[in-house]
Amino acid sequence: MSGPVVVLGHIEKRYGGIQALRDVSLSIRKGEIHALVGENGAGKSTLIKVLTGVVQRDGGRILLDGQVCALESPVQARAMGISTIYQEVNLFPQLSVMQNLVFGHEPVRGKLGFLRVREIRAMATELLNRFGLDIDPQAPISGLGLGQKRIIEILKAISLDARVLIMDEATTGMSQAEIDTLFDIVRDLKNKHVTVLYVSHHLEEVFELADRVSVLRDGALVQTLDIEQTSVEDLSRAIVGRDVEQVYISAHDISGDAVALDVSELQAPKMREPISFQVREGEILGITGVIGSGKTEIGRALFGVDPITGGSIEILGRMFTALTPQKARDLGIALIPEERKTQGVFSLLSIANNIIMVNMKRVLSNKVFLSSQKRRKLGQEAIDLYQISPKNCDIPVRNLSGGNQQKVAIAKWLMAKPKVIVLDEPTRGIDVGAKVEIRRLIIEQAKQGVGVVYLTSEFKEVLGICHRIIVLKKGKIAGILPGQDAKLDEIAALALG
Amino acid sequence: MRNTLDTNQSWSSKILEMLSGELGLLIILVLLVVGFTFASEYFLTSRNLLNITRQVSINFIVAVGMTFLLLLGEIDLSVGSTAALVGIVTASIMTATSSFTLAILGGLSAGAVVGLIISIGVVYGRVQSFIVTLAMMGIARGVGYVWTHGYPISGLPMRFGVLGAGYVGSIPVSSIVALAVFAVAYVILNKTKHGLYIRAIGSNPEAARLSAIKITRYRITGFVATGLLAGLGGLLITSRLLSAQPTAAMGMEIDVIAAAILGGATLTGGIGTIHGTALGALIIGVISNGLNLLGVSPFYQPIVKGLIILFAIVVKQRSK
Repeated sequence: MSGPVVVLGHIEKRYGGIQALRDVSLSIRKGEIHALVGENGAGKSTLIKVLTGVVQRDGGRILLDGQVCALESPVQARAMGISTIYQEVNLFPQLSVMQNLVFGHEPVRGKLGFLRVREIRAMATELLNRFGLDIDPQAPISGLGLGQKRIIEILKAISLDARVLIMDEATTGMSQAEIDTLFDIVRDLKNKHVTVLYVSHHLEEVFELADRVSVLRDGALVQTLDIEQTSVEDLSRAIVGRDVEQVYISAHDISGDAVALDVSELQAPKMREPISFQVREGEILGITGVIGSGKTEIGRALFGVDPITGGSIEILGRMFTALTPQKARDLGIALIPEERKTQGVFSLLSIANNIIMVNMKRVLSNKVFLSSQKRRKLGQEAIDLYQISPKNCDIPVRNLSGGNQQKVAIAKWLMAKPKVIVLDEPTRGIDVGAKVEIRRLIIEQAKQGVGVVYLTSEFKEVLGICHRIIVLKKGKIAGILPGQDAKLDEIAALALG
Repeated sequence: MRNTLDTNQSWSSKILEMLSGELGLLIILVLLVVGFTFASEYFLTSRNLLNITRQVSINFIVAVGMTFLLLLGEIDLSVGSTAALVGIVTASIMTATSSFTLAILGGLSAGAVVGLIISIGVVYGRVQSFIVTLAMMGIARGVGYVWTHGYPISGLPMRFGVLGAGYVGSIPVSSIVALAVFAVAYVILNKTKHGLYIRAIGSNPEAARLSAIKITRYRITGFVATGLLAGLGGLLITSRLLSAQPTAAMGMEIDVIAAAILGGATLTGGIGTIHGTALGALIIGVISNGLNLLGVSPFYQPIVKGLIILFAIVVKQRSK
């Protein structure tokens, strides 16, 4: 092992009012596999973006091989030898393996740019052989499995003389066999003195692969440890923190025993395992797990967005084995979707028009015509009730802050007085103040007897608000914890372990 | 330094924003009218102005359907072919039965059926409307050719000409039809749930689905309404000529899409107004009429129209 290849010194990054990275100092040694772990929102993605020039840091400096470098653009980062493998595959599916491998630096002949096909094939074959891979260089990418695609991406980075390879959740969706092959390649890279920054949710992968591990929490570096000197338990604890500052709002008592929603052996196309749970009237049920653990799919199936392929949902004493969003709405189910901008609000439309979207009956006169008076009234009512700012209901939603847009997305459904509310990441990407308001709002609904399903991949979000917490791992229920005394490290151990 | 730059930018962008809206269109229209008035003594006569409104009417009627589709994030390239086909169906029924009611109802139904077929391709076949209607553009035109063997169906009763060429007082009947279409479309788009849902689906189809809106229903009605309105346009053309031509309304889609886009609609959905489209259709109509009066060769006219569309789009892009 030789000295550090990448040194980050006192890196700072703010997005508006949110401090995404604070005083992060980290050094990565040449030829090591350095794992980066942390919860969602801990700052891993931002750190990668800073390192790859996608976003500009607000403070601090970066040294590459002892040289200070600006890293102002992804192109510059690439030129410095930093390549990234993302969760999504970034290859051209219609082009062949060899065309993808040389893309951007194809050997050409003459000014017209005729491709030197023989040379390209030789380069690709040599690269594939170097890693002992049995892949036809002329096969189209679209015919390869996910694992092979990721490996081709790595080879592409190598062919660009990458010295630092960043892998961001690069095993998402891969089978164990594929992961094993990928890890062999990564270890091989290490022998070839390529430095790997390995970002992952899966601690078992980290322990299998990494030499050292750095933990980020709330935008700050907690510690960097030698992998041999730590354990899964210690690492989980470091990731979630013991004394996380928390917006605690103690969960109220549930008045009755009535069941609001009974989900039994529910299955949908994107759910890996059938799932069963109950939500009582007035109960807030948290469902959490790392990204990809299946919580969003549960929400979509409950609202009939994805078709139910097995099992049933019982609501208001009636059993359903098929559901459409219209049916779900009529039964009193509401879904506040994960992506605010693309799923939750109509950003071109005014606050009032967003609110009436699921409350049409209340603003129609003669069942056909929209009454602008009633529309205004309903819009204003929502604004007052849920403290949406600005107070003018004619303003297009795209002019609102993230927190207020989210309030509109939620208020729209609350005005319809649902019996069961499914919220997917309701507090993602909004500031602390808005977060508290939205949590209060959810509790208010539960106190009125509404059954709440609270889906989130940020473990600490389910604390202090839920009566029970279901922890998912790979689509299965890994454990159910009582909301009152659940601890972050318990959740983390179930979800990550 | 930064501040002064910002204020400068907001000044120019404010002006651009105003000009790219309906006010800008109105200014362009007024400028065109003033310009042509000076250029030709015939332009600002009541006879010519009424002539313009009659010419604009058909384009506008079809452009209303197009505006609905653009708002939904869809498009229909087959409107010209549909208009011609509806003319042929109407004329055939009329010569066979000599019943006006049957002929008109039959013709309009044919337009609606074309729209329905398109919507099935888009909604259930999951093919982009650009592709489906490109195919329908050829199919509807071809059916018209096969039906008529390429010959016009002429000799329709004089009385049928009232729709396309007649006047009530001094106002063309087709302009009255256009005004009625304007009123109905305006009310639907601005005063009903249907209109709001159309806008919502175009601006964010995923959010619309998650708001429990039956997207397919609104897509289907959008295409059917456009087929119906293209048919109404074809009916008026046939009535004015007292003859159904299989080659009628060639290239109509260009003027119609141009009117809607000029009026503020976008190809990405969610944006567009009926009064904007009306102004767009008027501008295109005034340009055609003015160029005719000035004796500009009809060969040059599509070039002028094309340049105007490009200009309008560039101004709109800049204002963003």
